Amino acid sequence: MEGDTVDVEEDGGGYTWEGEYERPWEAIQEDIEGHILAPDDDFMYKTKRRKLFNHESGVKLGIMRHILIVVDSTQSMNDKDLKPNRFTCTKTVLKKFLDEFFDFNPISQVGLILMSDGLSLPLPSLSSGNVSVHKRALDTDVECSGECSLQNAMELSLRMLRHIPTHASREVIIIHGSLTSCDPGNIFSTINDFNQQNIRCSVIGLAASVKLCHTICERTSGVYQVILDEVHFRDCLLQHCRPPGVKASTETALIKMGFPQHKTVASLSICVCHLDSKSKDCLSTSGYRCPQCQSKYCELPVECVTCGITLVLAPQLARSYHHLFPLKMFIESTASQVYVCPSCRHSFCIDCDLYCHETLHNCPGCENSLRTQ
Amino acid sequence: MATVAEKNVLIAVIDVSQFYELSMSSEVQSQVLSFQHCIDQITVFINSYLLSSHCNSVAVILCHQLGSTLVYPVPNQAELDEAHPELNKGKYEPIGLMNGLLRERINQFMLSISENIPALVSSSTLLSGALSMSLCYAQRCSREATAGETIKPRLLVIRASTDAASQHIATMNCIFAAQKQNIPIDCCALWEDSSFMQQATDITGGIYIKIPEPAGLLQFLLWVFLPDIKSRSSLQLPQSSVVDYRASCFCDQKLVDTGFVCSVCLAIFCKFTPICPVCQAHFKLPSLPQLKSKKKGKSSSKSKAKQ
Repeated sequence: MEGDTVDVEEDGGGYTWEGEYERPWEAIQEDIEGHILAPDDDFMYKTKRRKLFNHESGVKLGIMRHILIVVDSTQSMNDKDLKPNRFTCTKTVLKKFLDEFFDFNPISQVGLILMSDGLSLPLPSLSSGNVSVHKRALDTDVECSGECSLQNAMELSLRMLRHIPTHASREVIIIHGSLTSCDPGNIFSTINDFNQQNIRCSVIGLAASVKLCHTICERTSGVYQVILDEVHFRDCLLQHCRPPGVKASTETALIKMGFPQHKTVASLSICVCHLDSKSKDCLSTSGYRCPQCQSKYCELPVECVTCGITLVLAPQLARSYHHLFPLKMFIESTASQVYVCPSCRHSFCIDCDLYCHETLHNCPGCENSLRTQ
Repeated sequence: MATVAEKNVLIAVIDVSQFYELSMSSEVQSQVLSFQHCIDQITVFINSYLLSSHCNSVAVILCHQLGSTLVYPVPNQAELDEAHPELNKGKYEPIGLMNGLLRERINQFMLSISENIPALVSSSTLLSGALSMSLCYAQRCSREATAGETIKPRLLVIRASTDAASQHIATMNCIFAAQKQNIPIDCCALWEDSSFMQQATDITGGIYIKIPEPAGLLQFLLWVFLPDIKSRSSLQLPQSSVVDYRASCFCDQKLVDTGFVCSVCLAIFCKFTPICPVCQAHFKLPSLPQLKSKKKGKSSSKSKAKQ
């Protein structure tokens, strides 16, 4: 697995069979007790740190994101160049992405669209902020067949995103396995519509670079990536977890939100979110009640079906604050493997440096020094 | 031979700030828990935790207005073993050594604080720092684990002071990091309720308890916090009351049911303001003008149709 990441990082590696004969077993090192050491730790750390540096700060971010993921499910997705095949691999990578995405963007919504037989169909878990619903929708059996139509998929996402308020960041990610697109009309007019509606469209190509995809991404200020292998695929998709910068002209708004409390009452009632479902677990005594119209919900965040207000929990908002007040990068000091926080001058090892920036988003040194509070 | 699959690490964060003030004012001392008494009780708890299973290990972090320190384990344990042979007399060796070390290091810490009293004026305990530190320590434990070993860290915060609003974001970051890594945070509040810790325990699935009688600290520690996470489900533990998740608005810190949130910086306000005081974003007027524009749009399209 380590070898894969190395290959991914070095561009232009060529075909595997053209390369030198590799002896991966020679790179394995053992410590004194005979435990296998992970090869090339240093290299992995460097790439991880470089990734951290790539995030620009001081840019206005689209924190509330409405994102549609278009998944190719045409014939080309049956190819076995990704294990076990492209579609299954995409599903597993997507599930990982969804977990990470909601962790980073708790007040965002995701919708899934499948492209097959020249058509595009939204999955039933349309625009929901609930991970488990999406995962269940992904687990249903889908047969990959027919050709792909980028225009149909884009038109559908345009229809789905059009009504979303302009202060939210509207994005489409297309996972594109085929090399062709069978469109009913002029796709360039659709691209212009995307541009007008301020929708950002990114494409991840599973096969080869396609000029049309390149144009789409360029015009809608998205990112076009073509994957090298599974690991790179995951990295490419996970890059979209971080909220993108938005144009300065993007509208800002003061959004009315409700902060409901979890309450338990004596009588049984059905929550609004499960009204349509036939399962019995929708009957309960506890739930969140909309402070405006008293509709009951079992999960947050959600947009109230009855009165349209956005319902969130205060910690869910707090979860996004680290995007807005990011931790300063630590400076690598002259002594190797020592990283110094620029504000408190405490030094950290590489592991703590990565942990602080990736997960904790705090500097233990700064938090422990007596500031002017 | 089967190796130990799971290793439990208890990270105890002890808030010592109030104790210092209490020990200064001798009048109250008789009524409330004295510092020495409290440390003794915590030591007994830690000892029983260590003795209950050989896979248990402990870290102790002291937290104060001036900062936090990891008092146990110490970096060069082997040297200390040799330096204090007298500590081990008549006791189970590692425990006796640890108790001596703990006492010594805590005394050192308190002495170092007493030199800096002027700096303490109107500041609050740096809980977020202690939490960040303990999470980094937990991370280190799992990094240093040998192959096939899983580390199950948990945090126990013994809280003796009030929350500081300035630490809100940092504390929340800690809570989410803990939740992401499945590290439960337990809290034992001594004098005052702490809303941060109530949220922390609720989000990470820990236990929150406010002790009615601080002198009986040990009882609560042994009954509530000694059993491991697995056995909790079969115990009848004190139920925490409903946590208040309402947001407090940025303008006058009131708890609100419905509020206005800035789409750029996510600041919460209780009433509409045209310009965000936090990020200076300019807002359009809410709902009412939008309705007007809709009508206008309709009417204009109608008029167009008529034409």
